[in-house]
Amino acid sequence: MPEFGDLLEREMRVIRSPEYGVSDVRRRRERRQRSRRVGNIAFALILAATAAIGLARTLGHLQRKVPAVPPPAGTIVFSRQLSEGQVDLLFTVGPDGSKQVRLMPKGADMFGISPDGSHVLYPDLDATRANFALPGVVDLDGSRARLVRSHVPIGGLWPVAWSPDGTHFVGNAIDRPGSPTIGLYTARASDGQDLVQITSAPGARYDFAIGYSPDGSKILFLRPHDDRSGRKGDAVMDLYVVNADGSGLVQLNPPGTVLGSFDSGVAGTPSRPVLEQRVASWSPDSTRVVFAAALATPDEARSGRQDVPRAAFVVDADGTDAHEISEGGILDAQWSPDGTWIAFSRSHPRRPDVFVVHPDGTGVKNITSSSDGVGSWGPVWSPDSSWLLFERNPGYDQFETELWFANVDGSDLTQLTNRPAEYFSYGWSAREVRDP
Amino acid sequence: MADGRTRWNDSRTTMVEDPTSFEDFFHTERDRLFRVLCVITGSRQEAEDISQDAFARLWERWPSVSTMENPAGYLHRTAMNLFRNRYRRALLAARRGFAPSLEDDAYEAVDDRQVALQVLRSMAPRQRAAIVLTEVLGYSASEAAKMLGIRASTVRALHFQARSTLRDLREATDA
Repeated sequence: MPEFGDLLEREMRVIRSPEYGVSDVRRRRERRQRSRRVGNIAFALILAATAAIGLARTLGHLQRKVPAVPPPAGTIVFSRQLSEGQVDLLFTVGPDGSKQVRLMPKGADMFGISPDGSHVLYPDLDATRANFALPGVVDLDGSRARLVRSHVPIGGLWPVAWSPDGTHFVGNAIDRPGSPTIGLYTARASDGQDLVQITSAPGARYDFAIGYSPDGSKILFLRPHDDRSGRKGDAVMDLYVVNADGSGLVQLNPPGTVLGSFDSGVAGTPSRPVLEQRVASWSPDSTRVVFAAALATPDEARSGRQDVPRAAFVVDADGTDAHEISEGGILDAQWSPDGTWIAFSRSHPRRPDVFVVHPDGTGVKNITSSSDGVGSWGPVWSPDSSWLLFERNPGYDQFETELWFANVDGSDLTQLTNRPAEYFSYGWSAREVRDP
Repeated sequence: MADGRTRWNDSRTTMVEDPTSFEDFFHTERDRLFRVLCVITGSRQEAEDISQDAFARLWERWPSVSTMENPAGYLHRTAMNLFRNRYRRALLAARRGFAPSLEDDAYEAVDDRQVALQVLRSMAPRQRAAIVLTEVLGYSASEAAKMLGIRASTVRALHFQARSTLRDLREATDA
């Protein structure tokens, strides 16, 4: 159909000529060339930057020494009090110091991290309430803070530690002095029900829970040696173990030894007590306990003498075979989760330093050195047993402490916090906290 | 090589001795390309833009294009590529719901009796392009199909459709 093309050609002539000339095309060509030149320059710059970054990374990789152990992971939880009279607040922070978040608006001085690392148990404190302290739980990312029990039939319940299966917790009760309701209680972690009193402290004393055995069958706790021992200052205590149902009470520290924070300010630490939870801990197989104790009578311990000998003991969970594994001003003792090491701090003859030793007493080695005058103490383990988190203080002001961590081989000493304060309680969760 | 010709003779880009200037070429081809694009796109504005772009690209390569046997063919291919790209973008934008509507201002001056343009008016832009490339610019069905990225059989089917529509319109006009 050739005539269709001719017809179309003829009819197209009614369309008016365009209004642009060759100068318009020239301008368009020049614009294209300019934009192509800019594009080429941008491309060259991007290429050069990419090459430079790649080169820097390659050089950095070549120069970086290969770490002996994986870098610290998880999340560190701590309570901090900035000065006398202020409330303690709970925080979480990544081991690299990033993502520091205040866990919740309320104050809390102690806490327990759940076995799976996802929740934090804390005492919800409210002086206007009939029960001053009530157990609360908050997610590790700070969400969903809630009371797990809105009322207890005692003056208050201070939650301390989770059961290994995460279903229950153990806490310390406070009540009227001398009341038989004072003691340790266990309760269900989900709703606070199933409340069971498992110890009843004699006289005007307050039992203090340390934690469940890893198999969940027993609970380790401290009990003041006599009615003169308060919670702070002159607290001279004994170490006990009791079955989780309240039966089978056994004292673990042998005669002639006492535990506690009676050494405040006399062993090179600032004038504050060593947290009770750090003076003793379970072996991972639940058969033994390690603890730091003074080889002294209660009166000698209270005397404030700096030369009172202190040692680390390992004892079977039934109270037998207590024996020293290290001596010389031992302040605390913590068994590693994998069972291969015991971390402790020792104050004699210098300011305290952190050490590790095998459970049989061999292989003692320094993690820190106080030769620079900075004391270190209160070690707690990372969940993978590779790192130790502890306090460091250049002087004797309790509000001048910072948290540090180091590899178990003594390398990579790293400052975690950058705010001098009293870090009363701290722990390490295996979980990572999401970005806030 | 015995006959003195180069391998370029095997293609449509045979080297020639005396290239014309771009401006001469522009003045020769401008109106024709513009009108072809007007018919295809249905928009003077669109046709102006595509044709200017095609000329600008050609100008950048003029030293080599001017020595081709058929620079106009290169111009048409460039223009059809630009049209294809824009048409594809317009379709994409239309699917997303914010495409500017295509105006038929190029057809405003078309008298109802000008039946050939009326035939094209009933077609989609790519169908119009196939008809114009073959009927006006003289490309074969396979060449037009290649330039437009469609099958040669589709081009032939469009021809058949255009002829039928033209016949129907003529019969209606005669009646």
